[in-house]
Amino acid sequence: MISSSEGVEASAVDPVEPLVHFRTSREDDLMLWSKKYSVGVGIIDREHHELFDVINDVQAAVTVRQDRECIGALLRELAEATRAHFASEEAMMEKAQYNGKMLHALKHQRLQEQLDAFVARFDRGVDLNKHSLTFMRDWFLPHILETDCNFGVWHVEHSRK
Amino acid sequence: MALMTFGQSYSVGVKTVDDQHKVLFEIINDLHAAMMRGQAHSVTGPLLNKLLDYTRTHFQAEEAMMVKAKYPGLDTHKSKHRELINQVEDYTKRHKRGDISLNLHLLEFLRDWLTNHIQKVDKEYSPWMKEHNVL
Repeated sequence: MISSSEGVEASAVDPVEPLVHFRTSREDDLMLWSKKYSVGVGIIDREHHELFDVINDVQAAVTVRQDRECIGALLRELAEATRAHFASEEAMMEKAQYNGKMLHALKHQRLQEQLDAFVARFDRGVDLNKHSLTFMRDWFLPHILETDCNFGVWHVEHSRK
Repeated sequence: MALMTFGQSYSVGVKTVDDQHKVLFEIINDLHAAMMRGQAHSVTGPLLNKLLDYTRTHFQAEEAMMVKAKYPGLDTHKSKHRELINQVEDYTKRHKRGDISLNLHLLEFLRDWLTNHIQKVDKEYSPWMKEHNVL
């Protein structure tokens, strides 16, 4: 696994990517970003951090009892941001000819199915509570630390060659 | 779609064991379906307990069969069972406390553990059981 300091450095020295402003964390955030979640590839880290933000936004909207329309819009944003992130990660794997792509993409597909089913249930009238999104946390954190880090290490090694 | 389908490649040649493995497949599929339907803790909790109870029952039955047949690989096999039970117990406790949801990682772990265990570890005793007329 890549040490977190290296990962942060990799994001900091990437001159092409614009600066992204992540939202300030709140006390009741479900997903707290920290250096340990860096996979060593700047663009992936940024997308992960953005997904953390959207998950926290949904959670915050549920906590302060925002109306259904607002929560629905955030949920759709979460589903689409997740889809876009998976596509971007898989495109990187394809380009890098990563041998673990198929299995990794299958894990993405399963979570996306679960997330899409979750949004569809909300649309059918099932309201969210403060525990509803824990499945995203419980999937996402170990996925980053294991599956994504494997690709991160591989990607860093292969881009040096 | 079901997470696990029982096929001939999972048969260990002992009917009672195959039947019990089928039940384990069903419980894991039920857990997967409950997760996909977004079922509450009050539904997934009892399902997890059912998994734990049935796994214990099945392991005991399998070990009793090995004892009866004087299977030489009993101890190694037993320790693998013990290890899995510890992991599922730990998970069930964390789920009960509300620290963790029923999630894909657990289900994929259970599926991979069970398929690998049946096809590699359990099948090792098949010739022995056949020879000792345990069918």
